[in-house]
Amino acid sequence: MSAKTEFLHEAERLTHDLVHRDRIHNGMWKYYDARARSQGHFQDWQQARILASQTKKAAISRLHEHLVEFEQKATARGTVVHWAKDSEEARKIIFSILERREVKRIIKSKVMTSEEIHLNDHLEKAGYHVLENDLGEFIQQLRKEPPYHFVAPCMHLSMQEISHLFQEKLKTAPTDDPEELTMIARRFLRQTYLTADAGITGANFIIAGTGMISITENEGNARLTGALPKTMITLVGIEKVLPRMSDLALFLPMLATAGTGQPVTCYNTAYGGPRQPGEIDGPEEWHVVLLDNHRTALLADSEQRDALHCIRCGACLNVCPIFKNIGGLSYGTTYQGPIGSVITPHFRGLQDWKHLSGASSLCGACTATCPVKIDIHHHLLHNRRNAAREKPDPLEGFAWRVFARTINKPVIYQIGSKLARFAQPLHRLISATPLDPMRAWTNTRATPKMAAQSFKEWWSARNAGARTPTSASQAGARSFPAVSGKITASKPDAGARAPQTSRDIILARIQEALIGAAVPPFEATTAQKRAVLPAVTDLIPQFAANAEFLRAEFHVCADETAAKAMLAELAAHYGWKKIATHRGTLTDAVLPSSLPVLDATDGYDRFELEACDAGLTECDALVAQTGSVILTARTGGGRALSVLPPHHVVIARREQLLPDLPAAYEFVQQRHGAEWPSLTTLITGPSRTGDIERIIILGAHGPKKLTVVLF
Amino acid sequence: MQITLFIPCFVDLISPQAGISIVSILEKLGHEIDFPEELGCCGQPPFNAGYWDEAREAARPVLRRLRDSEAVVIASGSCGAMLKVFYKELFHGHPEEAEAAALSAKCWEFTDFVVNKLGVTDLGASFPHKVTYHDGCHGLRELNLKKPARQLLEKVRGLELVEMKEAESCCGFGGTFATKFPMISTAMGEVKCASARETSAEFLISADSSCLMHLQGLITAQKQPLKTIHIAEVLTSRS
Repeated sequence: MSAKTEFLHEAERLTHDLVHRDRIHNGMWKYYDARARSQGHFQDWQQARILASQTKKAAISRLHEHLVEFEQKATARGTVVHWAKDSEEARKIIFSILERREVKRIIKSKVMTSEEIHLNDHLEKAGYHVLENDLGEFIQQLRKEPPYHFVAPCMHLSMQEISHLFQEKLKTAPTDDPEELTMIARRFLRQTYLTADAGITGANFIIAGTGMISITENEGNARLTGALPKTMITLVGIEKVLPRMSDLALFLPMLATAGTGQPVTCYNTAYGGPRQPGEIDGPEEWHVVLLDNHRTALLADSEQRDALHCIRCGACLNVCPIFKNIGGLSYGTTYQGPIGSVITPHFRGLQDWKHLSGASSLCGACTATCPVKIDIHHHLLHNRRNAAREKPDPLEGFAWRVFARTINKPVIYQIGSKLARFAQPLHRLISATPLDPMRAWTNTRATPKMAAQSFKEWWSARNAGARTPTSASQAGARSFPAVSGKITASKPDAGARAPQTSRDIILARIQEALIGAAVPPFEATTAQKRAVLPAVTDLIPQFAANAEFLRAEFHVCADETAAKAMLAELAAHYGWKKIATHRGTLTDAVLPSSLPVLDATDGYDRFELEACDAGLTECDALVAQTGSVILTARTGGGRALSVLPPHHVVIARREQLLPDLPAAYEFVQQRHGAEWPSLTTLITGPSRTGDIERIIILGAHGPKKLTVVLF
Repeated sequence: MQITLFIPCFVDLISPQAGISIVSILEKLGHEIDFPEELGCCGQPPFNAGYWDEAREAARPVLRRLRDSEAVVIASGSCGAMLKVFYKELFHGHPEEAEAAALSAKCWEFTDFVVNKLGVTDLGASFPHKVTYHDGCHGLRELNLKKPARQLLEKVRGLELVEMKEAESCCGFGGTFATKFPMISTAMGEVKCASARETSAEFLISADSSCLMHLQGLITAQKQPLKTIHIAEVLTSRS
């Protein structure tokens, strides 16, 4: 069955499924409300979109330079960077790493690029044990179904369906409690973090200037995947570049707002290498696979190049009336919805996938909502034009030619409309029957009734003899060759020696694609970012308000003694039997003396750490604007201490409370820029998931509780 | 001012009353109407289908006929967007490029023209009904016209406007999309009608007859308690 036939079949089925329709529409309402709240906190969302779009446009226009810079910086800290021209090469690279590292068990956080290259199928066929650990992806893996929505993989399922699935596959008791369902998955997946040989992640951003990969998530599964297995592999599309770490201050809140309606996603982690000298945890090896897979072809299309600005927030799906009625699986693509309909024809063939660009009313809701201002719906139109130009449908082409030559010919128009009016009563006899040529309309809709007198008839009756229309000649309309969307300049290094490695080939493809595309470098200044991001007034009250919204605990203590007393109180209140911590000025000062402690300063046993009731860490800074904690592997006791125990407690001084995200990223850059730790993470509230009916449940994989003690 | 009125084919044949109302409003405001009877279509159907050579062929007589007009008023946001926005793209790199740009500058969708060009919001209308308003997508997002229709309706005596949820979401017409993907188009229309009915409005108003043709088709077929009416007809109502 062709992709189009399958699409039509599924669309037919799901548009009639009213349960599905209600579930998706109701789910989206929760998103609209959350998004309106977060977007409302921006001082100027529209200007933020302009800044984000200019940043991405400038970054994409020198993609090759950014990728080379990323490679240099990442390699300098021991990261292995690979270049994959296509799916097959990406799989080959990953397989060779897995074989060399003698991997058997693999855990995967959410990796859309791996769906693109069908990695799971190939891994399973080769005998690997692969487990998805994002809750939604895990559920879809159990269902043997691809993600329904690239941000919300199982939003089409009810709690009952998930309960049945767990009963059948995990032999658990039925429940209609979303919290219990989340905890079933948490318990099931917990051990896998401790025992997996390799972790595979995707990435939200490639940060060229610092040689890092940034991963955005809510559950903590990606953080655990990057903390415990000995080998970490990150598969990322080459278009995900941001020039600087400071760009995150703008992009993280925009991605969260557009994606899920959160002010900032729970965990935004920048990985800067495998475990570094002096660090206590993290993978021995980290491999980053840069994936082209037709992205350079899209890059060469100057008209649609901005589709590579996409940060995969999924907002265009959420507002798309087509998506909401046909659902995500009908598309048959890795990336669903409007952006998927734009890029899939470039990735998988225009003629086979042009129907997705046709299946749109071109309403433009996607373009209006896109945080990076991709001209999504006009690109659907461009795909239609390119498809018709490349291979016109003979019948449809003929029909439009006749239409074009007659519609503005008064005589023919008149005869046609009179005929139509004459035929209308006859049409009623066959309306909506198999004989009806208009049954695509009439099956569900009444035929529009033709007026007894048309506007034109009314006009000429009224103005009989008053004036005659100018008789513009309509003959001799010429066709002109169409302008191609592609760049036609010659190759930069024509005649040069053919490139050898995939790296060289991809870089050459990028350079060729970008001829004439250069735009001046663009960096949103701190002042520009401050003018669009949510306003900050009083630091402590604002941090407190954000903490409350995030369901995090926040205690302001008068001094060190009070902070120590607060820790003792927390220990008693929560009945901690053992806590884990790292040595530091602040942690030493407040550590409850009566409690058994796992000192992780020089390392830890992962099973012992997992059994602790809380992890007490220091941090680099707190962020009033978002209620976030920012810490690094160096300041926060490594990668796992702040995410593996069920309660994360942060101790900080008042002067560590910074106003906003630009200040926080400037601060860590200044503090660590000379020698980056392998992990810098922005923690915003306790771990959470909304994967089951968009109900927020805390403690999906990471800590259920986050407590910040300030003195 | 002499105003050239562009009447799309579906207004001409299916809902001429919308066009007649526009004529009556503009004439009452003291303007002279120039109606190019020989024009039937702006060329949007082949344009949206991807057949741009054919769209250009259909559009050339329009460009030529409107060349000397002082102002062009279009009785539809959708065809308005075609003339004002998409002609520029359609003729980009073609000899008519400059002409398309010149036309764009003097094209107005009807409600935009009345409110923002003529500066009039009160047309003395009276329409004592509870209504809801559907934003046609092209008017809303290509021409950025959220306000003018509401400014006009605000001044209509006895009219109570109740906004529906998702007033800005598409009705599902989308030109040939309605027949190429009828199941999706129908589902979208059903969602729209359900939103409109939730307001318990008696009338669903729009500035786009094409959206209304599709929605009225559904309403009639499903015998829903809702009526559709073009905004120009509301604005000429007297009770």
